[in-house]
Amino acid sequence: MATRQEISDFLASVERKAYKQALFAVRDDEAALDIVQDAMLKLAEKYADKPLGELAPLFQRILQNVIHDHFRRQKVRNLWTTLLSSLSPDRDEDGSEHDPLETFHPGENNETAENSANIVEQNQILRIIEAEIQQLPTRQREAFIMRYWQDMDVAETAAAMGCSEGSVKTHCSRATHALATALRARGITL
Amino acid sequence: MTESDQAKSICRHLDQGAEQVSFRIQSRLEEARRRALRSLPPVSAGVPFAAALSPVQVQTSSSTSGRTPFWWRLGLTAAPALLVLVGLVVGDAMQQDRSAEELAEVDSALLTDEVPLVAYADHGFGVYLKNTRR
Repeated sequence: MATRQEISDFLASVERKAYKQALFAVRDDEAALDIVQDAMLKLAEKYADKPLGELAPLFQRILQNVIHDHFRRQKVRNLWTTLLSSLSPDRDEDGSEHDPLETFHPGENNETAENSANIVEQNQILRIIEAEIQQLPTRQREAFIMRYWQDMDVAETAAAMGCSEGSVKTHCSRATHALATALRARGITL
Repeated sequence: MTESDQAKSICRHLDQGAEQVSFRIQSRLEEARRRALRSLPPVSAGVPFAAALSPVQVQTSSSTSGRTPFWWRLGLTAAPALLVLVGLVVGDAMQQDRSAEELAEVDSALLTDEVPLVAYADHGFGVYLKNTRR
């Protein structure tokens, strides 16, 4: 069983990636933070007695479930909103394209640095990559992030996603190819 | 470049992005982590669950996990209801005693009164009593 300190260290090590992962899925800062907080609380309340080694796949599974719950709630909310307020159609909720420039935040106080051009370029590449990841189909994005970014093996990813290992490999392969193609089209070589 | 290399290269950029989260986000994540740690079960604060219980406690809890706790729980659940029931019965008995005493007082007052009992059945006497009360 993991100690309090080990759980704290574990959460500290995964929180930023978890936030980004939630952000890629829901595209909303506040919702992503809420999702990470819910996932952390659930892990601490229900699975604190698990060994340290099991926490990573468990946390991933919880995170995925919380993200899916978020979408489920959003779907119900949107349904009621549509039914009850037909006079004011949603303009920005679902219909609009996501513009990567909206999420582009120039680095703070980097203008004075000598290699500012390089840093800006790196940031631009990063934003483009993040935008392309957001454009991936949900299952491909989940598989890619868990398998490659979270360093989970195929079996753990399959367990977290509730699908077969073959499906994980297919999703990962398609995601990588889609990302590489999209980045090449934008003139970015990896 | 293989598929795995491409994926790793993309992930290196993603790592960089995760490191660049704003101070506000970082603070919120730290707060979320603290809240999660506060919600940990008390025994998990550095001590494994099994080790937190002494062998005697483990034995006691396992031996009492059969009938006794159930009866205790049943007794604790039923006690308030029983108390309310007893209170109602006692209250009802007291109320009946009191009304019987009042009737007996009225009867004795009527019988010991100088005015004959038939006078109270007379309509005119009733009107007279009402008028004199005013």
